[in-house]
Amino acid sequence: MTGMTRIVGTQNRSEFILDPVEAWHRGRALDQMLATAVIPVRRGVLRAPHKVFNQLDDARQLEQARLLNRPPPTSDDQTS
Amino acid sequence: MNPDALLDLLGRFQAEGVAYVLVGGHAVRLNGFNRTTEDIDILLPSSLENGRKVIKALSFLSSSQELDEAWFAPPLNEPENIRVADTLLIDLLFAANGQTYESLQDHVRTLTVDGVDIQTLDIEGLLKTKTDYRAKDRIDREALERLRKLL
Repeated sequence: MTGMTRIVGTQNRSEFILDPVEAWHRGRALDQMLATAVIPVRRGVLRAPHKVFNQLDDARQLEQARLLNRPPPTSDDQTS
Repeated sequence: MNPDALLDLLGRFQAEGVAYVLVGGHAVRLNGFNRTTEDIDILLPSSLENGRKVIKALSFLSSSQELDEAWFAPPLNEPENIRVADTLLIDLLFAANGQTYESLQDHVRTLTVDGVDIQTLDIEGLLKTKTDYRAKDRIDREALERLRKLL
């Protein structure tokens, strides 16, 4: 038996959004949903080549992945 | 003040007459591919005068006090970009994958969202700013190329 998805409601969730204004608002809604999930950035001004910015962003992504994927605490962790 | 902090920022650029192009993830989204992004990539011409305008437009962010207008006219052979990490994470770029504000002018488009004019790139322009080795860029590239076929 193949899986089936039942859809209710009228929101169109097509892969691509061809109206730029709608695309903007949907993108900003996505930002709001994720705002509390991301690791805060240390505040201040930095001057560097773009590849350095990319390295910093990659490091933050890795830190975030580690936070989400670390093993759950065991009963030993809780008693020690 | 616009309740959308990013639109508010771009409205301030508009009010100060800043020459800029919105590139990166937000530009990809405006072109139709909705994906996550944490920073705001702004491509700027190398110009002291424009730098003064940028600093003025960013004055609502406390980190902007650390900006030096001399940074806005970097040597073209090795441009140093500027990251302003504040309530918004803004990357001020003078080159993106070797492309500059000047080299991309044929691809600049103005979109108006909630009364704010946004200078951004069309798909062809965005593709020029994407590397072929960074994973995030490859995903964008593939989506943009599929989008281009739909137009």
